[in-house]
Amino acid sequence: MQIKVTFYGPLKRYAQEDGLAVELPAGVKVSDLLDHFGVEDRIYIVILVNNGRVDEEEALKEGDEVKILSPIGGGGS
Amino acid sequence: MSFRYVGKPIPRVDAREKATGAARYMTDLAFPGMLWAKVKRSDYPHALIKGIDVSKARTWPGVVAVLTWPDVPGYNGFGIVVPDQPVLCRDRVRFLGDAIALVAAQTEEAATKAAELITVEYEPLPVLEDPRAALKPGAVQIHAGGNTHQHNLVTQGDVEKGFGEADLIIENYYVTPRQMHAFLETEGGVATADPDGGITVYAGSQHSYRDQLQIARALDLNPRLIRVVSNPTGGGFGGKDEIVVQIHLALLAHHTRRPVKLWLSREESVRAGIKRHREFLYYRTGVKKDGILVANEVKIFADTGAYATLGGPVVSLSVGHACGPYRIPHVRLESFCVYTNNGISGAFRGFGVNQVTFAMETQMDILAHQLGMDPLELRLKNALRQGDLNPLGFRMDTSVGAIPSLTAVGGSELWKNRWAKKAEATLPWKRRGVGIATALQGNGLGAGRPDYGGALLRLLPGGTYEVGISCPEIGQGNTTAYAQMAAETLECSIERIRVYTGDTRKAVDSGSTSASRSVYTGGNSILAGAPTLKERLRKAAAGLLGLPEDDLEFFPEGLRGKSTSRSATLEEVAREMDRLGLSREVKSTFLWPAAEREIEGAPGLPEIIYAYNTQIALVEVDTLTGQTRVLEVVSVPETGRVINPQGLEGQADGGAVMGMGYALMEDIIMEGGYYKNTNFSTYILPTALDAPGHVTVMVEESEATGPFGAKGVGEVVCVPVTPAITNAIYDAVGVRVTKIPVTAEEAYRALADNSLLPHGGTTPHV
Repeated sequence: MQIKVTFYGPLKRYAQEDGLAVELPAGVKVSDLLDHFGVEDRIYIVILVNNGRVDEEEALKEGDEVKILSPIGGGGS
Repeated sequence: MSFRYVGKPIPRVDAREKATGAARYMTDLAFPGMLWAKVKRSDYPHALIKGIDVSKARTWPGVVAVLTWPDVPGYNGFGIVVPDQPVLCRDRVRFLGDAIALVAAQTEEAATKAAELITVEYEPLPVLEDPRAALKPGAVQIHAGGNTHQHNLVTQGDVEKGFGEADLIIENYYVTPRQMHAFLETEGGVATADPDGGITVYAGSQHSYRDQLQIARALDLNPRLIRVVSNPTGGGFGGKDEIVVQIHLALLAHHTRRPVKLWLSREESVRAGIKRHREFLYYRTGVKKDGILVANEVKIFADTGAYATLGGPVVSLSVGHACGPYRIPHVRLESFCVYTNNGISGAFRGFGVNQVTFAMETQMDILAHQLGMDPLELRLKNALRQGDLNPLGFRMDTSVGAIPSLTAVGGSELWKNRWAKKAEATLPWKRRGVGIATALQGNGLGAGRPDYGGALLRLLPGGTYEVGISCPEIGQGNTTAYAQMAAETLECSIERIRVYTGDTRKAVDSGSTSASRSVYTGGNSILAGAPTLKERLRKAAAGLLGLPEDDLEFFPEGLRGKSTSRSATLEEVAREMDRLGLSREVKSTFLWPAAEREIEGAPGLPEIIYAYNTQIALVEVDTLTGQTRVLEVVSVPETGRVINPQGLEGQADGGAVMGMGYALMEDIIMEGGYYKNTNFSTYILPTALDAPGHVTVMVEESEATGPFGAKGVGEVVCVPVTPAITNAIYDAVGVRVTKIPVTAEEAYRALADNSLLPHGGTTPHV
């Protein structure tokens, strides 16, 4: 199945291209996708699938759009 | 369009329990068998650690655990952007707040004594206390990568060409203080060990899901095993965006498998917690004789203290807002976010905008005086309009409220009657003045990454809705705004809405309460999820009532036929949904609109959406003592459609006083890396007796992307009031303030020897 992946900020070192199409076997989880790219820091990252926050155990399906970013914040109130 | 709840002064949903003291904050919690924790912190602002001896502490009666760096099972570091702050220091301390060891004991007294018994052998290092000195060649390096945490440089047009076109150029240096958040509840909470091997941390904060990840990284635990509860939080103002106590709590609960409480005293909070960045600013501004701004050169040195936390993004916003809400075609904006051995600076309401607004709005006041122009007219002449290119070269496509805000302030009683008000000074040696300033404040997290949100909407069997949005309630009233928007969208009685925030188990991750983002994020997340849930309710009710779906309408307690008297309560609809196998729960998602690319030289910029505010102040300066009293303030925030006018007024009242303290009183003074004022006996805050008469005039420019047209209000309300006050002081006594706070002593000295000369400071700081 095909999913699209975008890394942000410093994590772009894993893939520069936005919306990179990746072929993965059916039934894989987010953790398999992270393995595919060799992502090292598995704890302090935010993973969005179709813009919703998920964790590594989330199952992926055909056409999913995955965004991987570092947490950040800003402002005071 | 008329609304039932939106735009109405609905009483706060948490008002009764907070007003009566019934509300339980995280530091109020207690559990059976709970231990007390204390932190052994550094004795030096900068030193190598040569040895740590905890043997006496371990044997002190009542002590259950003493932890040092080898006891951190995961990554021994934390920090929102860069994890450069040790959880427990191993071989070096970089400021007085650094933690070296943790103690958990049966009583608070035993924990305190044991922490005192820990001995640390140090080798002191040179202390860097000025960011400009820290950049000099040969300065000791606080971190391996050097003392510059972040350097920004943004240029647009040709700044020297712009100055060549100018008829008047002014050049000044400004200094701003290290302000304390002064939240009522200092950092603290309780952690418990859960039977599944996990940890629950109850601690006030501004982003429970991000805390969860930071704790997980340090403990090397699956984030699923960590629950963070941070609602209600006893004040934040940005100071609880970063971790202070959470990892220490979790670590002690992890090792002892018992509940542990840690609650910092005010002194320890000042020592270990976050502050507003002290900044040194250079401004050179060029203007045509008709008042049109043509060039602005800005250089900023920001003291971020020993560790990064959000220093980089803060100083990016200083750059992004350095020119105020004005069109300026030629700019050069540069900043250095610099490590020192001072207390850590990070997020604080306004997030880098307060400092540059003080400088830029003082520049504008000086220009107006030198040009012989009315200061309001000068601002109106240069103010951004929708569709303009801003000084960063980014087009302002969303609502721009600078001119409506300025225009409204011009119509206020105080502005119209300012000459008469000035003449009403009560004694011959008192002088009155009126000052004006305006500002914009970016909303949301800016460019370069998705700024995400979401809501959990659930209809319970009893006919009540649960709304779960993680952005914690830190006192600003987002819980009430969420209830209003949910009731409006779900077309039900507001009594049927229960809002959950700040709990990783009860709400989906919708990001932080920061960046003036929580109402915009939560509201849009509710709007994104409600149609799906309502569609299911409609389907169930149609079957229940034997009516076509399009013949149904929602009413406060359920659904009913438009043309019949048949109706079903929400309880009945919930039962029918269960019978039909329709889920009563929806998880929505939402992404903020964002620029396609970041501005070169300034990571995270630009924001797409901005709030605006113009404030004017009437002050009275006692020329014998230097004391300034702020008598009246008028605030004109333009923050899109107002969801709750009572909530906005509360924010504006508090913001005006916070910005007033920044102008006149507040500064955490550090000498040689040591704090000089760590409690309210010496750190002077405005009290109710100091608060001015305050009028809030709401200007509502509906923002097309906002929920019901809303934007964020939390920060901009405290920003321009500071230079409005200092400009009023100039108007009163002719002394130009370029360094804040301008305390009575400072003003007295300036009046006595005229050392604060008109039009700027006399000593170059750059």
